[in-house]
Amino acid sequence: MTVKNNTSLLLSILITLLLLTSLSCSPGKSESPGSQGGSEKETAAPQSMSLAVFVPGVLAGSPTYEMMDAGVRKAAGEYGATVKTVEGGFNQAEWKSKVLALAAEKKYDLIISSNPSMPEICRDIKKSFPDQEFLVLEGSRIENDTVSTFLFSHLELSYMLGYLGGLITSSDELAGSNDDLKIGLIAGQEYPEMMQRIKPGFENGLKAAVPGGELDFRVIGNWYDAARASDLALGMFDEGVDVILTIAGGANQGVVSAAKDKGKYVLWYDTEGYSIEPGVILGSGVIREDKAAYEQTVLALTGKLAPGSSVYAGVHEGYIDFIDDAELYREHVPESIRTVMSAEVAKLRDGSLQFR
Amino acid sequence: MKKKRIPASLPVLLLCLGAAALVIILFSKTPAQTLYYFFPGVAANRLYLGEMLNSLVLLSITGLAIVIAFNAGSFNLGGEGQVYTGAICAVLAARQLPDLPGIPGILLLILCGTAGGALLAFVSGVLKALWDVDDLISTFLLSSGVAKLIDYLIAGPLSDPASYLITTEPLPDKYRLPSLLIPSPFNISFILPLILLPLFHYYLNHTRQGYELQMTGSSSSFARHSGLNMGIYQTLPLTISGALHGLAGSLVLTGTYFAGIQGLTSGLGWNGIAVALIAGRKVPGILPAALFFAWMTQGSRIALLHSDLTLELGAVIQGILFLLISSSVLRLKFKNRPAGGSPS
Repeated sequence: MTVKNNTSLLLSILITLLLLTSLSCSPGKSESPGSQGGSEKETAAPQSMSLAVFVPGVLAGSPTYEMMDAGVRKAAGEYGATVKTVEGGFNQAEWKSKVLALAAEKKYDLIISSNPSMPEICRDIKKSFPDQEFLVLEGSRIENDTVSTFLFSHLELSYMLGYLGGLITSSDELAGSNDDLKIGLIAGQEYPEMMQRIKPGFENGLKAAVPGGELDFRVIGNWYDAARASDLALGMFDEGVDVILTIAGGANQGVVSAAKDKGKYVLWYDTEGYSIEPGVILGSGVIREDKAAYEQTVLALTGKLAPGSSVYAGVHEGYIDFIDDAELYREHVPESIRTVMSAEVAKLRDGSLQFR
Repeated sequence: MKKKRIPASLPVLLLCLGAAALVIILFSKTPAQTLYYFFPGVAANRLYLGEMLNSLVLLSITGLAIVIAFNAGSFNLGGEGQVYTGAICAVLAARQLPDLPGIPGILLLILCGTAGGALLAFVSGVLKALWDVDDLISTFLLSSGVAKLIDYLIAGPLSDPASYLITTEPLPDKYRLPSLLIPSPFNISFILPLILLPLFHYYLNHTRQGYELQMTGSSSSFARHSGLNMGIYQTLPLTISGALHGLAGSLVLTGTYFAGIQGLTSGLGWNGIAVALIAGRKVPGILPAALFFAWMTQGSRIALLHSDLTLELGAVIQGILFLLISSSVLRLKFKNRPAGGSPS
């Protein structure tokens, strides 16, 4: 009997709630007339453009996506455009339907994203929504591309870090450096960018610094398993590796803690990493995703971003760099290494050495 | 008179809607807009509606799979892995037989997927029949293990070298179920639940085997002492359940993703359990239950995309729904067993 009483009480509460709901719904409908059936009549003023940022993952804890979002928002702020940031979550299978939903709203002049896998998704969506424009950072172009891409030279970034790795493993001044000329690279997964650009670039850099150097390359199999990353790193250190470049997302922390335990070293890839573990992280690259996002968004907002345009930029253009002005870098890396390193980095900065 | 026909889960469903609305009103800065996208927004365009209908089709198949097992007293917690197995078997079939014409090809892919899912659940059924291995544990463990193996296959030997996604090569166009609501993935497979649900309703309630199956579910010792072949009723329902999951997996592949992309199950197996619970473990309840669930998940997805609802808040709302749905089932359970019998 009490069940019945409870039920009727619940029902009355719910009916009230639903009434509230339906009442408050009506203004929502009138706010977005563009999304209803008659979408041919676009009423948006030409000046105020609307942008969407699609994050293939989540913003919090991924500095590259935060940089992209910041770059887009800076440009949008200057030109009075609105920005909607959408997180796609970690299940890559769901990304396409989420971007598709953004495109289906037909209210975003440009959808901006950043990930090597996004161009293929956007090209596919472009077949259903030919008027939707896309800009993908970290994306490679194809023939007759319909999606604008901006690619950073991972060959150059990994070259610089490989070069520093070579200097570290052959150093006599660093306590953690042994006689073996071995350096390591740990990746979350084997993806095309890793196999075709980062790994070869890293190896090139190593060979340029130490011709007899050896690379130990390992793959975790995902981007979160810090315990497995730590196990891999410990095994590599036991086999004579002195320094590891880690590109494994959330699993990076496992590599860092293993290096700290063993008194070895880590190289950080695309964001300032020295402060994460001073004295363990001896080198850090940076990809200036915010700069690229800002400049490309400004082009789009001023109507100068051609659909299907592509940029391939590196150290010389200022979109990638090795961070050598950090206090922690000067403090923990011996001067002999820094001098040789800065001479090599200088060649990339002035454009006399380029890898594309 | 009519009041008695109200299904027990209706108040819970209304409570779910109320809870979702309450969370949105409390935490969204633009509650009106969020609520719009959450509820009526789902039907606002062909894409959203088609995606919702597509997941309605898939969920009613996985929901049916769970209901069948429930009715025979079996618990199939391996739906997720069985769906995945169905998809990967269809991928393998497409790789082995690239030259078939379209329609026989699609049918073969679906058949292979169904067989794959069935085989996986059959193993659990046989373990139960021969050695009394708890099906709840064995389906779950087997499916988790197989899911890891499939993840490896997709990332390794079967991976598409041309794609940056972790996926197998896309299916040729002829092996894809064409969309009925472009650009959504809603396709001809909507006919399947319309056939399967009445078919299994008839099987359970109007055939001797169905009766015996339900008898096994209500009391296995009574069934055993009545002289029923327990081996059949411990393996067959689980196998059918696995087959339906495999079917859903092959449909996800041929109708939605067109490639064996890692993570394509997207909780289809688990959500099938939720649908079965909302449906009160009865076949007639499946379609409305799946509609409710598909609408709620699609609503929260769209609201996430277009309002200020965060990913976490979306997850909170779904969590509340699950909690309410499963707790209502707990209550039903206690009603059925006032003496507080052994946990199932």
